[in-house]
Amino acid sequence: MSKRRTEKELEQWFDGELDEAAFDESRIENDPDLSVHLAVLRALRSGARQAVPAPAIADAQFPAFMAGIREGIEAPRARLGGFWAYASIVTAALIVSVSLLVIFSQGPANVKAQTEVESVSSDIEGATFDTHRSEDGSATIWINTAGEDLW
Amino acid sequence: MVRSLSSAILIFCGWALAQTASADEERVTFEMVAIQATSEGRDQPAFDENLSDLKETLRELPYDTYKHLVTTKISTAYNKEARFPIDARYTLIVKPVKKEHDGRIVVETRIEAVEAVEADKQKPPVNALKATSTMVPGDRLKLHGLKLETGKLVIVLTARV
Repeated sequence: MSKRRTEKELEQWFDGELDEAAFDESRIENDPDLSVHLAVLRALRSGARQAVPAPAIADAQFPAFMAGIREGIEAPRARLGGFWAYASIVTAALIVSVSLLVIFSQGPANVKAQTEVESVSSDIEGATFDTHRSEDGSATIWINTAGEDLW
Repeated sequence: MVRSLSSAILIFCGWALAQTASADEERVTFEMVAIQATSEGRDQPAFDENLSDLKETLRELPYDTYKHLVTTKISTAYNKEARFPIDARYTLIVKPVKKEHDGRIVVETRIEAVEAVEADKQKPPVNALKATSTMVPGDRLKLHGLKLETGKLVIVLTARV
């Protein structure tokens, strides 16, 4: 009888699938390999018994189980993004407002520039102009009209 | 609590924006001094008593006798004209345009002149002088050279905010 067949018979006997009369237990004592194999089977059985049993859902519990699954799928997600967007808008508006308030609440800037004449013209034909700046910072426009009369 | 804080912040934003809007309603005050200037051959220039504050400003002009005509002070908003009647012929019109970042004010000035003819032959006034200047508040702008019955017209204009 092949070794593998013997081990298979031993496994069936160990699992209670063979009658006690169908398997000669003395062969285990006489065969070291069978002894080792039996020890392995016993170790496996012991380890399996120590594993945490997975919770099982009974048939009566299955509808409630599926209802819970559907509620989890349909429940709206927490909108943390909406809060942050709102906070960002409010913060930006606050920064802009404070900046504008600081700018426009300041007093007149210290003016270091001088009065300047940008452009000069006249409807009087032949009129000429001269512009210059004085030492006291004032600007002067001198209009010279031709002839004695205004026009 | 978040809603209350946000509402408070938004109310503050509205108040701050209202403050900035009020800055646009700022007014400019112009003072115009009109002077009749003549050259009479004096060794030292002569000034009317009313012109004592302007002696140094007028001294550089090519005249030696200064007679006060009229002083007028008018406050106006930006882009609003202010009219300063001088005499039957001349009127000074001033308009502050805007305020620059350095505090200077862009001012448009023009002197309207009416030709002296009979009333039924009046022509529309002409702009004898038009000028755009950037004025430092408190500095003076001098306009001179237009003819009067006697002498020349000198205008000293000052802008203040």
